[in-house]
Amino acid sequence: MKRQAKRSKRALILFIVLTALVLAQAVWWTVFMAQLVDEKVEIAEELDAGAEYIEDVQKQEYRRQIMVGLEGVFFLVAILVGAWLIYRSLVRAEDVKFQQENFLMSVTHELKTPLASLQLYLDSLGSDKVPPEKKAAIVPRMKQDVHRLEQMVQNVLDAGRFERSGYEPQMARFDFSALVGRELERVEQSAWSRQVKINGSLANEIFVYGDEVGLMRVIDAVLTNAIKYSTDDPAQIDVSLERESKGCLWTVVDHGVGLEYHHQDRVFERFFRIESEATAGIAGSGLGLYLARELVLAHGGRIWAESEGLGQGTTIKISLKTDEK
Amino acid sequence: MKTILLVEDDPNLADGLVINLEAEGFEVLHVDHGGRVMEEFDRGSFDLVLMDIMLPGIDGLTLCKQIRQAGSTIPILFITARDQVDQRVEGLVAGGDDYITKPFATAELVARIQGIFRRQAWLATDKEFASSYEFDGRRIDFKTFEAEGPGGKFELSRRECMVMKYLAEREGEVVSRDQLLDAVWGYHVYPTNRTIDNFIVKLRKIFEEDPSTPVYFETIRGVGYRFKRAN
Repeated sequence: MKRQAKRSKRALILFIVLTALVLAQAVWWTVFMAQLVDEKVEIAEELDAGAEYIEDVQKQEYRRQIMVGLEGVFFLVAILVGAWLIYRSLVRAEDVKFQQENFLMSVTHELKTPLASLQLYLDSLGSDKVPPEKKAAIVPRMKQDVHRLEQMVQNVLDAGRFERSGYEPQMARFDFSALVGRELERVEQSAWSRQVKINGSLANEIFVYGDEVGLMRVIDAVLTNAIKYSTDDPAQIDVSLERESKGCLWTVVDHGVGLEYHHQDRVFERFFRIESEATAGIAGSGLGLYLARELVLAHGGRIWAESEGLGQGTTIKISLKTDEK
Repeated sequence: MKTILLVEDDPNLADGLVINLEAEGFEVLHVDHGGRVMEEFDRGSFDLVLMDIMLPGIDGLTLCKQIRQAGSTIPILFITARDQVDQRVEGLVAGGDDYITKPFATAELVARIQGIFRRQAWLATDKEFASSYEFDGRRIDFKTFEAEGPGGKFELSRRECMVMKYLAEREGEVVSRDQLLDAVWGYHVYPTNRTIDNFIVKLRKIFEEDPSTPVYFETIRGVGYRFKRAN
């Protein structure tokens, strides 16, 4: 974060210096042109030219000055706009670079943590000092770690693929409400560092024509995010699924760190993660909501975030077309 | 039995650590949220803190600083996924004693923990330098980590105390930087053994009349240092 601020500051300094130089040159040219008129008039006077001739010289020079001045203003504006565009793209490039560095660090953490726990569990299974009853409980946990690794690798691969060629859903008609119900149960029972309580209010038999696996990943990403960024313990997540005209609305509400208004769209950008005191120490790759958005868009749906601000929790809403018969 | 305060938010990693550390004969208390660490730390009596850097609530580096500010010299071993040198150094500068990079084997972790306990035992060893050491009107207390020199009283870090003790135990002998690193860190944490030089600078500031012309901490060019009394 500090490094990014330093680079952006450097770009700003470059922009200010460039602007100052251009403006200084413009001032210098203006002064120079004004002096040139005076010099020409002085020379004409020294040569005892007639008043009419001197007036003509003055008029001619003023016309020339206006022409050159207008051209100067045009080029000045063009140069300043150019400098501003360069500055803006430098800042953007730094932003992208920072997000990519951040992504690499996050992915490293996300991959290494399940690897570390797998390594420890393998040590436990091979150790004579660990009692058999403890060993019995290890295998399901190892499966969870393998699933986490698989999901992470899949997310990284998909992020690249979606960017290049978009997502092609495998469409079929299925009961979306049943899928949401199953996922709520599964996510609630997964291993979390805190207790998780999901309060669901789901309408029954909402059918959609879509990619069941893709939408399962959307549900998983949104719920995982809600739990990770919850600040209450146990984490209370309120989930509702309701019918709307020609569609359905799935809503997930957490009581966590919340979002500032200008971040409410950005959380769906690839690699984007909010760097703040409240989110420090929360692991994530910045891919979950990006992939969720891509998947929802591929279904012709809409996903958006709402929040009253920092510390006020976040609501993620997804609207999808239904396929009622 | 040594008691470890384990601070790890990932449930599976924490579970694996608890199982293996208990099997190795340690007692482990697990905390999964940065915000609850200081409370548990004040309540219990621990021999070592094993802590992840990325934690919800308060991160490991901040917690380490808080523990040190509270006046505790308890050994802190960081668990980190970040293996770049500057990031590892960041943990040690915050007051950590050692770090281990994910993924790691139980044997490596236990070796690190035992290494810390061994070096700690050496610092508190009941010999000539057990509690304090005096020379030419200067004094250093290896239990309270307090030092007194011409400039007044100072607080030292555990490592500064260890460097001082290692040199004092070998008074008059030339000690290489590698020797000091092996004894004080146990292995090469930093990219260069010139790190030791910074510790010597600090010791000179405390104990020398004029740190630019040292009398007690002599530099042996290309090798290391020699500690000797003036009188």
